[in-house]
Amino acid sequence: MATAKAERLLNLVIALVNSPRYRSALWIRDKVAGYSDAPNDEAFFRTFERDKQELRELGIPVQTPSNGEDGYRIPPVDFALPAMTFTAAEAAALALAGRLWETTALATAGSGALRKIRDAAAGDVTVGSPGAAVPANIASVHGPDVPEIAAATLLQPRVRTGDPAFEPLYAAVRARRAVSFDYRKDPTGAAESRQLQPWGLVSFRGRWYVVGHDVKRGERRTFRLSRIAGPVKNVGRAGAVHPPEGVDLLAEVAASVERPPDRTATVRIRSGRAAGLRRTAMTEQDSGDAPGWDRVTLPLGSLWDTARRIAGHGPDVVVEEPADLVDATVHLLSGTRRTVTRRARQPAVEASDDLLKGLSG
Amino acid sequence: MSETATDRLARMLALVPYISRRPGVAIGELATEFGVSAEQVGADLNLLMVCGLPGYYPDDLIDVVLDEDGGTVAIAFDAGIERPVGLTSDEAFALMVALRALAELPGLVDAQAVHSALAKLEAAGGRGATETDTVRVVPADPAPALGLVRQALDETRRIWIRYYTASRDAVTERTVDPLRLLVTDGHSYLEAYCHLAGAIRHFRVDRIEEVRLLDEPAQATLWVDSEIPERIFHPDPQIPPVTLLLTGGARWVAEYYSMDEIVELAKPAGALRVRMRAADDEWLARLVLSLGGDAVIEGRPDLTELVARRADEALAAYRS
Repeated sequence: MATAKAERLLNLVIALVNSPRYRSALWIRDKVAGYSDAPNDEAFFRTFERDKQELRELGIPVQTPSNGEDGYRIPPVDFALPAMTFTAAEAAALALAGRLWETTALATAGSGALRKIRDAAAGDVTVGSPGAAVPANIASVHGPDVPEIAAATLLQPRVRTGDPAFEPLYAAVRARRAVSFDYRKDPTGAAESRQLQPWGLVSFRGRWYVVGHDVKRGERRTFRLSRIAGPVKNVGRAGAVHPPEGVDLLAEVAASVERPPDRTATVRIRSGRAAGLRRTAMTEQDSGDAPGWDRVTLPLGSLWDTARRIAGHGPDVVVEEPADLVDATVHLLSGTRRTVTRRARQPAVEASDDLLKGLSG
Repeated sequence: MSETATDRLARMLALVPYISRRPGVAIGELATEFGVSAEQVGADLNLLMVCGLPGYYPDDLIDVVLDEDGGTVAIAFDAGIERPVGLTSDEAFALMVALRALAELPGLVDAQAVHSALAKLEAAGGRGATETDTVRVVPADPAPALGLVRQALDETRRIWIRYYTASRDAVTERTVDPLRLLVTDGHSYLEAYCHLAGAIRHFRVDRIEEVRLLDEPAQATLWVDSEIPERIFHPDPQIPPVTLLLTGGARWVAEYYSMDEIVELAKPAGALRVRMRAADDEWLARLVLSLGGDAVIEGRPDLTELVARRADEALAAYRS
């Protein structure tokens, strides 16, 4: 069945690409292999309409005359990918782009696109690199005589899309369709049901996010894909989602993931210690009043993230200001102290209790 | 077989130009290139042979020349479909989003080349060229050293770097021979032979504080893995694992770092017991101190004692 259909579609493409003029439906039914089996007009037109639609989805436009007369053709200029010339640097960029995606629909589409571009160019076109003209064969970028292209093998960019939610959300974004899913906002909390009009997907800091309009909450929200629990379900029809004009998805995600520094903090760091903190320092100088210490100014964004980084260094880093950062750091250090004391009193019972649960679970 | 007729048609329309440009191509190569079995390629070729121009006399049909002995194939008559079909909207989308992603990381590729390649694709009627801003990818954090590292790779030059090692919270100076640049999971990594360590190491490029190109050539590469390792950092199996109890606010640690084992506990509710291999005790002490009492080291009284002493000394500085 599928073979018969593929055969019929291919014969239709060949017939219409090679026609010098529009062909009538009757001509197609009569001449193109696979259509004459239709028992009646209705069956023929049903099949033919569906076939034309499937060709359009493959990027093959079936044209009809502008005067509305019965007739069909595939203009060769619209059918084939035009030959394109690329410089060596462009070819190298394309080769990398075609290999960027790992698994999923994007990878198949990316390598398919690259193959078509290569085959559209090969044979009759060469890459325009003066003195070193080479075929635009992007697959074999190993040619030692083309340094710009050979360099591509030394670069291995990959964007992983391993989250199970990626494929359904990608399809939903492309189709502009609303979705629903269960989401675990806090890893310790229960999953909550969300309904989202997805505007787009963003890969930031190695993680995927979906940005859109949260229908129940009536607000713009960002979700991390790795925290989506269970399946992503389609809701409603395709084309129903309309992202607002000029929305910058990347800025949305960046703002939800990290708070940009808007204050500064002054800390004392023991000489030679806390290299990581010093890397972010804005200014660094010897502390005149405390020998053996440096006075360092740090950008301050998230109060608690900064306090954690400082508390980790124990007595090697001391906050001078602001006061709320001093309080947060002291709070963390006191918390550590309290926990150690509490555990020292009764560690054994709890541990054995949990161990049993761990084994049985 | 779950393949649709449309998928199969798309492959057959791509097979004809592919074979036309490579007369005598091996069936095995076609199978690899198109991601199907050799049997499927054979079935596709058989189907191509019965398709052609209306009339369907022998001379109208696509003429696939099979060399049964050599397992190779050529096309003598292509019935006018020897050019690849225009890009589908999915194909144009995947390629253009990827190109834009490469441009987001300054120093990785020639940004001008990316933009001119994009312009050419758009001009060629990359259908689906619109709306590519619905998928945005920042492949890695910006890394100022990236440009020079790329240059060293291109010119096979040895480099000197000042590098911040997060696990030891220290900056070291090293001479390395660059092998590859890996960009994955939000970071760019230089894979290089490190003369200080005497082994191949991965360096996060955003942690290279300073880089200088040396006049010596980099050592020739004996072997380069073509794939990116599943995880860039493997915990050293020589290091004995440490058990941590993580509560409430420290649960993210289990998600963030590579763990040997994670056990969900019933009591206290929401707690995790994890086993991990840390770079060293100093790193572990810093981690636990930063978590403000939400993490506890089990079975290492010496480390617990170290953490408590550090906390006491730090608190003393705020009392004076």
